Order: sequence, then structure tokens, then C-alpha cells
Amino acid sequence: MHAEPKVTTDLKSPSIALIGNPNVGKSVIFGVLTGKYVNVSNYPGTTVEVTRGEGKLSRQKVNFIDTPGTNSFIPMSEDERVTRDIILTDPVSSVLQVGDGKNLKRVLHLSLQLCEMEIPFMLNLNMMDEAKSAGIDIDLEALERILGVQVNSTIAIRRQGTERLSSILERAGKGKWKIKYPPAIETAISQIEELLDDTPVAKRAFAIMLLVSDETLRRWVHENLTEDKARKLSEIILELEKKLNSPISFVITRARYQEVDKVYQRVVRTRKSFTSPVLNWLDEYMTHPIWGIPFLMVVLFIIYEFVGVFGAVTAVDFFENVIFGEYINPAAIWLFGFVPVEIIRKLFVGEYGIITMALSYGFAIVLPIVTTFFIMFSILEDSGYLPRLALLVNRMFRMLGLNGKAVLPMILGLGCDTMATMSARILETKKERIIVTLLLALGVPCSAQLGVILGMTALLPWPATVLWVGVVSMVMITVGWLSSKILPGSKSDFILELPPIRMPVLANIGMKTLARIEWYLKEVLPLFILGTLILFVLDETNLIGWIEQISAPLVQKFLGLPAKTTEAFLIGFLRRDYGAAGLFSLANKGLLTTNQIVVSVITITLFVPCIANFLMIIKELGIKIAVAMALFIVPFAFLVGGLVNYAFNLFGVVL
Amino acid sequence: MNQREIEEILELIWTLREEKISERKMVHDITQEKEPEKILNSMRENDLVRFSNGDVFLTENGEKYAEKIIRRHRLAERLFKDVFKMDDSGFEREACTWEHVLSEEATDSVCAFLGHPRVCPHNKPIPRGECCNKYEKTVSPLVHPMSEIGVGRSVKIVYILPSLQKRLERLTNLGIIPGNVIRIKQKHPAMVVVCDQTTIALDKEVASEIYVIAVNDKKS
Repeated sequence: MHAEPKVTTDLKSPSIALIGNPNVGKSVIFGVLTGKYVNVSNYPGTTVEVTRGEGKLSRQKVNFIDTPGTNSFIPMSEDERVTRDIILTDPVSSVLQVGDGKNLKRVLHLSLQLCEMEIPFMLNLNMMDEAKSAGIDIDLEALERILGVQVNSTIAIRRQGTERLSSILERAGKGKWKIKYPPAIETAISQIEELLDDTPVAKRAFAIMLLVSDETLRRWVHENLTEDKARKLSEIILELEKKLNSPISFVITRARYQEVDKVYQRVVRTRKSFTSPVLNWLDEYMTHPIWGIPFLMVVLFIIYEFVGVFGAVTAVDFFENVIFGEYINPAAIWLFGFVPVEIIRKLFVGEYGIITMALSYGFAIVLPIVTTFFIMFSILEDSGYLPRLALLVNRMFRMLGLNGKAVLPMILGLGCDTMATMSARILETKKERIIVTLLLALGVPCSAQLGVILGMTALLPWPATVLWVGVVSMVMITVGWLSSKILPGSKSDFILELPPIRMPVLANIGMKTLARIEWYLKEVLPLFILGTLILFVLDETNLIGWIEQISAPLVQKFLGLPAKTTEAFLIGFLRRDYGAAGLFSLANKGLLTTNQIVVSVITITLFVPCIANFLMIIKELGIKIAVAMALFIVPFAFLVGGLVNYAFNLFGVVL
Repeated sequence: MNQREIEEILELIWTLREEKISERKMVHDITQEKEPEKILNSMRENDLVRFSNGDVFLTENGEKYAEKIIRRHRLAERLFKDVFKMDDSGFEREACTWEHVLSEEATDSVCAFLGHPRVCPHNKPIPRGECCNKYEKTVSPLVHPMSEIGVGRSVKIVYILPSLQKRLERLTNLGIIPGNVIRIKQKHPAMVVVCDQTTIALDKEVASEIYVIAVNDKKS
């Protein structure tokens, strides 16, 4: 689901950073300004990385930077820190602050800090339709006068008001809104200011940052201050801490909020609110301690019907048997019949042919499934259901040393484990990130794989499906529980903002699905072709028989599967879904018994993460942890598969 | 030798002990009383302290006495800081006066009013009184932990006593800050509260560290 636009940023043109609280529509506005699509959804923390894109103001080109949402420039998690660091390290010429119109207090809390930093900015209040139905009227002109910067209002998802943005952006200026802190803090600020020469933002603002976030700025202090000054700095902080009775950051935030409150009272008038009774009703039941469960079941059932039955059976059947089976493959075979060289013929249309295997697996089996999954997933994302799900499963996740927030990357993992591994950044502690990454790599099948597996289980009696789900969940719970006990580190609080329930906008769903399919084709098809080529070479050199032979004790004896499935596991090393597709086609041809399908599906579900996912694990957690995970996962997957097979034999189970 | 002087010294010995200090010399150095030696000696005569090798310790009687003073002092600090919003030097000064005058009954009422807080604004433990042990619910405190508020009620945040600093920062960034009014929307499977237009889900454990006071009893 990683649709990062490849843009070469021109270093000479000025940069404008989009900054705002989580889930206020920065990415939508980024899309409007640059014409690039980045993933947009209705839950906080969708953007975990910085995206850059080029756009145009009236006279010149500019680089826009989309940033993860943040509530303060005192960073609390990895993604918030990313945003703060952009302001400090990137040569940003101005900032476009995006805010949620109905949450003006939190918006102003950020604006106040931008004013303090003396960075030229403008404020764009988005989601004004929701503010209106919440009964909130904002006097934009009064707000402009108080802040001293331009204020615009938009409903970005419907492109209302966005056309004014670029012309207003040219008039971005430094804000004039200032705040006085309690005397003790003011003294400390001016003492620190005396120590500083050259600061990335206004001296006063930077002094405040040093006061409250010593840890994350330690490197800056180390590199930019003499030892003497650094010592003085920590003395000033210690001195202040002694004087105050609460943490410094708390006193500062409280002072800011009091100031924000004053302004809020001046610019906001509230009326009676109107909220849709249907959405209210949904909201109520989604998180209900009892009704939430059947609600989840209904959601899962709809997904199953749409992806597992419509996508994986009806659509796949049509594409595989009609489009490829009756037209494309025969046509290709006929066409390649004119090629006199046998090896080329085999390369394209043979048993391991690029068209007959790679493309027909990719287009006919996997594509219809991922398309239907992406549609469902986009709807879930935009509705605001996912954070509510986090609330519902919070307690369960506690057992795994995680909290409900971890459900976001986990569900995203059902779309793409690679993207999900990256989004694990929204979790606060490293321990949580490692556990989630491990569980993703181990047991969360990505949409392609899941779809293929759903397609296979649709061929099976229901106890087989239950068994698959049961074994995989048991394994995940056990591994999660154990790693939460073994790994050092701490758990973190569950404090999560729930965005409003929204009716998904059709255009956004369509755009998202298309962007994901495009990503999928680019990312996945080359790997499919590579895998096919490897199989082709192995087949031509007869190595495949040899591999089947040496892995016979493992695959045939231990797992009790036919030799042919070795191929599926082999290409599974490239992508799990490709491996699953291999199994699917074997099952479709009736070459596997139900027992064998269950064993092979369990094994491939737990099997190695795909190459892209593996690279992402290295990037996020380092090579050591990544290799350790792979070394654990591969033997473990076979072990579990083998145990299931053993249990089948032991109890004489025939499904 | 008046009572106030004795109480000041008792308080000092107690707080020094919290810092693991028991030297008599330290008592001399820190106290603002004019004749510490004289006071200490009279305290020994009254079986409040005992000396050993240059150290000073509370006797059983002294312990009981000091505990009451500390309790009054720290409860008073909470009261003046959280409820009356006095600044840092103000509540300190006020607490120093009140620790000598509050009756036992009044102390328990303050304790109940505050919802039997466990630590003072400086994060030091408040000795528990009988009222805390007897039972909080019989005295119906005005300030409750947010986790005990019923669904649909609106409450004002009075103070937050986080056991983790990070927790406090995260809460304040979301607008959960003393003085703000929030509505309890749901309690299971986790707390859901509405603060302005923001809906926030949080653990019960976190909610139990947020102390609130009812603003209206309208059930919605």
C-alpha cells in the first residue's frame, strides 16, 4: 500500500511543509497541491513517513512536504519526532498548517507554537462541514487578526476552498500571537537564550524546546554547545524543575492551553449541533462491549463474502478459466507456436512460462482478490471503524504485551505486511514495535495471500477453515505472549483519539484502490516473473527434481504433502502469496486432499515474510533483529505444519 | 518551647528521613528555628525523639505525631494548589500555616473532599488517615478519579496524578488538562471521553489517575 510518489525534489526551489494534528487531512491537501496521490484515510497515523512532491505557486515551483500528524512540537512518538525534526533540520521556507475546524483548540495549540518559532505560515482549517454540523462557527477574520497570519477554510475531500490555497500561501508570514509563561519559566527561557548563538528556529522557541525535550535534542546540544554551556543548560533546567511542582512540559502546555482558551472564546460561537442519527447509532454499536462483537462478526462476514466468495471464487474463476484459460493462454500458445526455438516457447508458454504461470497467477488469481480486498479495506479505513476496533480489542492485545493501538498495523498487515511494518512506528516503545513486526512477519497474511487462502478455503468444508484460523491465531497469541515476557522494555498506555464515523466518499475509495493496485502491479509482478524464471531454470537443469528429493523428508514425510508443493514453498521465499497461489492451483486441480490443503495453508501462512517485507524489517529494526526473526520463522512454520500433520495422523482425522 | 516549633522540627526529621538522612547536624543546618538544640532536647524529654551517635530518630510517639503533621501539610498543599489554584510559593506558605491548626476532623474532611489523594504536589506520599482506610465511599468525596464517574456525566478535570511523566504529556497534548470539561461517553471495554470535539479512548488505569469534579448531573 506504499504509494510514495517518486519525485526528484529540486533543491533550489523553496520548501513548504504541511503540518497539523493527526487525521486532519494533510495528505488530501498535499494531493491537491502536488497532484500526487498519497494514502489518505480516516485514522490518525496513516502517514508515518515524510512524502515530498512538487507543486506550483503562481510564479515558481515549490517542494511540498507532507508530514506525520503531531499534537505538539514536544514529540511523543517516532512519527511526531519526524515532524519536529523537519522544522529543525530541513530548510523549510514556510509552513502550511492544516487543522480540523471542529477541533480548533488543538489547532491553535500548534499555531501558537508556530508563531513562537517565527516561521512564516498560514492556517488552513479543514473539515469545515463537520465543524458546521457540530454547531461551531468560527470568525475567521478575527482569528486572522489575532494570529497575524492568513486563514483559509476548506472541505478538502470535496475540493472546496482548496483552489485558494496557492495564492494565499504566497502571503504566508510570521505570526504575531505571543504568550507569556509563568515568571520562573520566563527567567529560565532568557537564561537559555543567552547560551545560544545560532538556532534552527527563533531563539525563544528553541530555548523552550530545550527546556522540555532535553532527550531528543541531546545530540543537537552535544554538537552545537560548548561543554561549559551544555552544563549551564542542564543547571538551568534542574533549577527550574526545583522551583516548579509539576513537570516543566506540563506547566508550559497548560499555559499554552490557557492562552488558546482565551482566543477560542473570542473567535468561536456555538450553535446546536446536528449529527446524523445513523452515524451516531453506528458509533454506539461499534464500540459497545457486547454488541461490538457481533458487529465485528458482521463486518468480517461482509468482507468474507465480498473478498473470499465474490473475489476469490467468482471473479478468479472468470479470469482464470475464461479470460486466461480460453483466450489468453491458447492465443499465446498459438502465437508462440511460430517461434522455432523450443526453449523460448517454453520460457513464455511452458509449464513454468512467464505468460502461463507468472502472468496468469498474477492477473487471474491474485489481482481480482487483492482488488476486492483493497476496496473493502479502503471503506473500513475511511469509515473510522479501525480505531474503534482498537478500542474493542485493547484488552486482548494487552495479553500480547501490546495495546489496542497495535490493531492498526495488524489490520494494515492484512493489506500489505511491508507497509504495516513501517506503520508500526505509531507504537511508542521499541518492544511493541518488535512484537508487532514479528507477528506481522509470522502470521498476518497480506491481502494477496489472504485472498488466495480464502479462495482455497472456499473449496473446503468449514471445519478446515476454522482449523486454519484457529491454529494460526493460537500460534500468534502464543508467540506474542512469549515475546512479551521475554523481550525487555515496557508497555505503553492506550490513549487513542477516535475520529468521527464518516460516510466513505466514493471517489476517494476509487482513487485509493487504484493507487494500491498500481503499487501492487509494480511491486509484485516483477517478483512473480523472477520467481517463475527461477523455477524455469531449476526445471530446465533438472534441479527441481533434486530439490524435491532432498526436501522430501521435510515436505513429504514431515508435512505429508506431495512433492509438487515443494515448488510452492520455493517461490514462497519470494512472496508468500505467490507460494499460496501455487498451492491454490494445485488444490484447484484436485491434487491435494483436504488434510493436505490445511497443512500446506497453515505452513505457508506462517512462512517467511516476502523479500520487500524483510527489507523493511531491516530498515526499521536493523539487520540483526531481521535475521533473527527469519531464522526463527522458517523452521517454526514447518514445525507447526508438521505438528498439525502429525496430529491428523495420530487421531486419524480426515477432513 | 511552643508547640509550633516542635512540630516544625518533627516535620523536618520526617522529610529528612524520606531522603535517608538522620544526622542531627543536618537538622541544625536546615531548620529555621532559632534554638534547635533546645527544642530537640525538650522533645527528647517528652519522648518524641531519641539520639544515637549524632543521629536523631523519631520515637513511637514522635512518629505518630509527625505523621499527622505531614498528613495535614501535604493535604493542605493539594487543597490550595488544585482546588484554589494557588501558585507555587502561595500554597506552600499556606500549607505551612494550616499544618499546625487543622483539627483531625477537618483534616479527614479535606482528605475526603480531595478523594483521598496518595501523593502531595511534590510527589511525596501523604500518610493515610483513618478516613482513607475506613472507606472512601461512605464519606462521598467531591473529587473522584475519572474511572469512577458514570456514563453520560460531564466533569471538570481538577488534577492529574500520573505515575508516568509521558502519560501526562500525552494527555495534555490531547487537551486533557486541569480546568477542561469532559463528558464520559463509555466505560467498557475501555474508557471513552469527549473533550471539546475530540473523542479519546483510554485505559481505565490511566483514567483512574485523572481526578475530576462533577459540573452537572444531567444524564444524557
